[in-house]
Amino acid sequence: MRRRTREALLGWALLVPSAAVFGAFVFYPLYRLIDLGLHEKNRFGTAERYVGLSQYADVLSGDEFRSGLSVTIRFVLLTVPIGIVLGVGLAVAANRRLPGIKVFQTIFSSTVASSVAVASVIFLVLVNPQIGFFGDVRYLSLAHTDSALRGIALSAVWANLGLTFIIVLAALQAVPEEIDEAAALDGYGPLRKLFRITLPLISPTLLFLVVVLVIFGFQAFGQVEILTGGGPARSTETLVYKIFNSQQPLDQGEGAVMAIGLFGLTFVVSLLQIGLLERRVHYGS
Amino acid sequence: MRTTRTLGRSSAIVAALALLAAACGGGDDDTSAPAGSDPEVELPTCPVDALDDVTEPVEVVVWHTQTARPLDTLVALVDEYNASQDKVRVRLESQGASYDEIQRKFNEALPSRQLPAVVVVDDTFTQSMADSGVVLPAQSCFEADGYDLDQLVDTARSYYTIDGVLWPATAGLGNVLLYYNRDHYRAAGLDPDDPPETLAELQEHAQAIKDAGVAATPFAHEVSSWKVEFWLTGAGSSVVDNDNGRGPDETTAATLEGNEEALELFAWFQGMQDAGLLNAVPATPGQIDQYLAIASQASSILIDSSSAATSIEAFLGGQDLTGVEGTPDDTSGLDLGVGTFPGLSGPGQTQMGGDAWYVMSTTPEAVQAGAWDFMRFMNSAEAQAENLLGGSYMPWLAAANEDPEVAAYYAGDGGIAGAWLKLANDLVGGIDPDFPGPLIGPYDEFRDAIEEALDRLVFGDATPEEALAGAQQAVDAALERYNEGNF
Amino acid sequence: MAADAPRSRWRQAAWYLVLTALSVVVLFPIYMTLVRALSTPASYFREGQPLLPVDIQWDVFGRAFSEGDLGTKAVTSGVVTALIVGAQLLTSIIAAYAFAFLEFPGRRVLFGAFMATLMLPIEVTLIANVQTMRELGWLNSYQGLAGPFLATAFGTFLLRQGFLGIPRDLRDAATLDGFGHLAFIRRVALPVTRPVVAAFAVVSFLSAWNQYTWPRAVVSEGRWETIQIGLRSLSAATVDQGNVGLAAALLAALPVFALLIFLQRHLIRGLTAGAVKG
Repeated sequence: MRRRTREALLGWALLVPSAAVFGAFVFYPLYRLIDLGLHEKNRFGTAERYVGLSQYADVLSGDEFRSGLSVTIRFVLLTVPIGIVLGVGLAVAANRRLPGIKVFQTIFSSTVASSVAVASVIFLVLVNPQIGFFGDVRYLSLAHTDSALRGIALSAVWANLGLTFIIVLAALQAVPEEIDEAAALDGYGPLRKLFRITLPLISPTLLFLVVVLVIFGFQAFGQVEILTGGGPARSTETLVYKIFNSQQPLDQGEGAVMAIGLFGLTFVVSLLQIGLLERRVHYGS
Repeated sequence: MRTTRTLGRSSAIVAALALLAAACGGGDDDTSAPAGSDPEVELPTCPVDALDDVTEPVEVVVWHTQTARPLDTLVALVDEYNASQDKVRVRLESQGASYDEIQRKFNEALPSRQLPAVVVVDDTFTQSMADSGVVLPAQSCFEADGYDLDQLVDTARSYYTIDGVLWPATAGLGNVLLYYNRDHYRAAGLDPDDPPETLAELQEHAQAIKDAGVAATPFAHEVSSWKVEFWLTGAGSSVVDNDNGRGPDETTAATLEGNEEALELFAWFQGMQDAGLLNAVPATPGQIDQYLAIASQASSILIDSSSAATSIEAFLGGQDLTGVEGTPDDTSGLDLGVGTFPGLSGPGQTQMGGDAWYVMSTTPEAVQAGAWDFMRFMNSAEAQAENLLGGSYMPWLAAANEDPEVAAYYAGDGGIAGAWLKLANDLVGGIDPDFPGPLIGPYDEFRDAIEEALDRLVFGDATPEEALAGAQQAVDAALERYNEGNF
Repeated sequence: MAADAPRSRWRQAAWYLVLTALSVVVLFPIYMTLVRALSTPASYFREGQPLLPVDIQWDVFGRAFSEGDLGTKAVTSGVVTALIVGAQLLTSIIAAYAFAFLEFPGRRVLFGAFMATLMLPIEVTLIANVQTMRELGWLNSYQGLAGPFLATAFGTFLLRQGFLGIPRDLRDAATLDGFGHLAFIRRVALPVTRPVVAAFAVVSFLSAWNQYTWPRAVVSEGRWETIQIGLRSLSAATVDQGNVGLAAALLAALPVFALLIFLQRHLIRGLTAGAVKG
């Protein structure tokens, strides 16, 4: 066999394991979702009938999807900006040569160890209106429709602190020392240096962080389930929460359409990410 | 248009498929008649003899959502049954912390028939279980055993019977109670032995407690649907048409908008909220904040399930709250009193509640027989008594109430929870067997709608009219989907 | 200089103060959880929720472990995580090798398709994937829990970057020495890119161990719960003994925290991969 053919065959062969997994658990489900969205099932799941794109139109313009989308977006807005600010704050504070600084750095990164479940169980107690330490804080109250999402967002912000801190710290540490010295020589005070020099220098990292946190935000499910069960009055039902609860036969068509809607959302964000990354490549040269 | 033409053609295919599915789907006993159909239709046979020839123990899996003390009691009962014979091995599987979850799991498993032997759900599933086509109606098993159904508490029997067919194999009866902090009553100058008997009185007492500075929000309440149902049924008000779902026609619409009693109830909640007397707790699955409110003495009055009695007792001190005369021995310092349910217009107006056990017809006959044998055990006077003493579920076997241990428990020996449950049992006895509660297919969606309506009233800014109008719409849509979904 | 010394000592002290304050804020939730986990709930309320444990129950961790069957759940989580990490390493290494070093028709399209999977997280395909699992009978099983995650485009991407960064001379030398593909991977590529591979392994571990949504969708039997799902069901089941669920949460976070301390370097590298230039 010619070497070229052998290499080609080997190349494909090495991709087969991954491709098999992707085929079975990414692309095939996508096809099924689209198909589910075109049908309606009966209550027992034993029969289905074709309803076509009308279901897509109805669901995507309907109240359920719109409220799920709005809650999801609101959640992202509540967790990402403040998450970044806090992460940067912690990283800037811990990015200095002091004896024992490693201890502080470990503490600041510790929340990376808490999963969604752990963080939610912890905050359920902290923010519990009856017995929580912060139970009286109306602004975060899980018992009111206007504030419940903030309570959930708080637990997510805390859980993300570690990750944000680690990433920003690494970026800060990659900034060459000469720049710091040059800034000091030029008479830049610490705040001015931060905003005029440091942050712009690590902006690719910050952009990356925004994308990561936004994607986490889109995936919000466990926190909602544990902290509020989607309430009160379904005011904290994110898209994924609604999708998760649409697995019964009668709901599957709707759920599938909402899932496609969520896909559309992640598609847009991914495009943005690719676009930004492309820019970064040119940045570098 | 294209849709109707396609529908027309596919309806034929679908009808054929449905017939095929009915013919091939699951076990032999899939032919249970849906409610509302000809009551002359034959009941499926209950395979009571299928256990006789088994060579190995049959495994009976039970799906449930019990927690805390009732769970401990259930585990003990299962162990007792397993140890008492060797043909059946019962295995419990928790499906989560709320009936919503188990309903979801059940519906999700329905198409593939991957169902356990027994499913324990709450009292609202009767219609949907009957319509599901996968449940073995207990009526046929009781008849096969020659069991006299008059032994059952008649309200329970009428509640769980559709067109002469009794569906659940056993049921633990639950009801509702008023719990109140007698110290707070004393401190507010109220008579600690005179709990409120109507909602109006409750508001008065709460106001007095608040005015005396004893508790800022005296009335703790979990905002869930079932209490609303109790108030409405107790006041004789239907929530859906077709005679509250029990009539011969199809149930197609809610009767919430414009429902006087419902408006009165919602307005009462609004009033409590406006006066700052309400400590409302959102009904997040698996939470017990309303008990915590009482335990931490942030609130003084609670209306909640009678099946919480043993859990509250355990939670509050880890010891029995002895001293019926009013000086308890517990470590929490709570002097808890219990009163009857304050209805809209009078005391003790409630409906049926609790949990219900259904045997699935999709398992092999030997498993069904094993499941029924376990149900016989659960229906024995001893098991019914134990379920009361440990799990706070009142027996549906009327004779169990005469058991000396039970009688003593009701009298207050061995824990104050007993006296509390006596009250609840009296409430059960006081329900009108001809108006025991609604029968709704999409009961879970009905509950979601009511809960959302009350949430919007209490945690948001909706008016009673707006809230009920929203609920009406949601329930109408759910009923339509349920009825349409029978294709 | 001498004149600066006192001022810089003040500044140092000030920074220590700031850092300590921030640490308190970050650790506060964990601390309160510990306090509540150790206290007897009824007594804790009676004392008005103080900042120190009340009526300590030292056995609460033991109880959480046994009542929550945390041993079994940790094993389940462990096996699933091991499967996922192992499979992801394997599939990503060979796919990355193919994309980085081999020529084959459709390479660019296939790479695009791989990257496209990043836009379809499990949350989107949930309903369909659960259906598939049900049909395969893979609910409540290791294969059901691990299946969708046995390969990842993120890993392929990362390792491809790493492989592409291997200096030309090394590759040429290897070819001259007659290294076949396997030998090249084992003796050159992996050792050189070890930091990246290790980092990926750590991140993969973290994400697999902490998973919530997928296990929640696929598991309905208690025996198959992972430790994260077990937390939730334990909290619900012991809701009348509030401290048990909290103790379990702390126990669940412990292994990862230990990992953080010992593998901090790799963790940081993995998390920052792609984030920081150079």
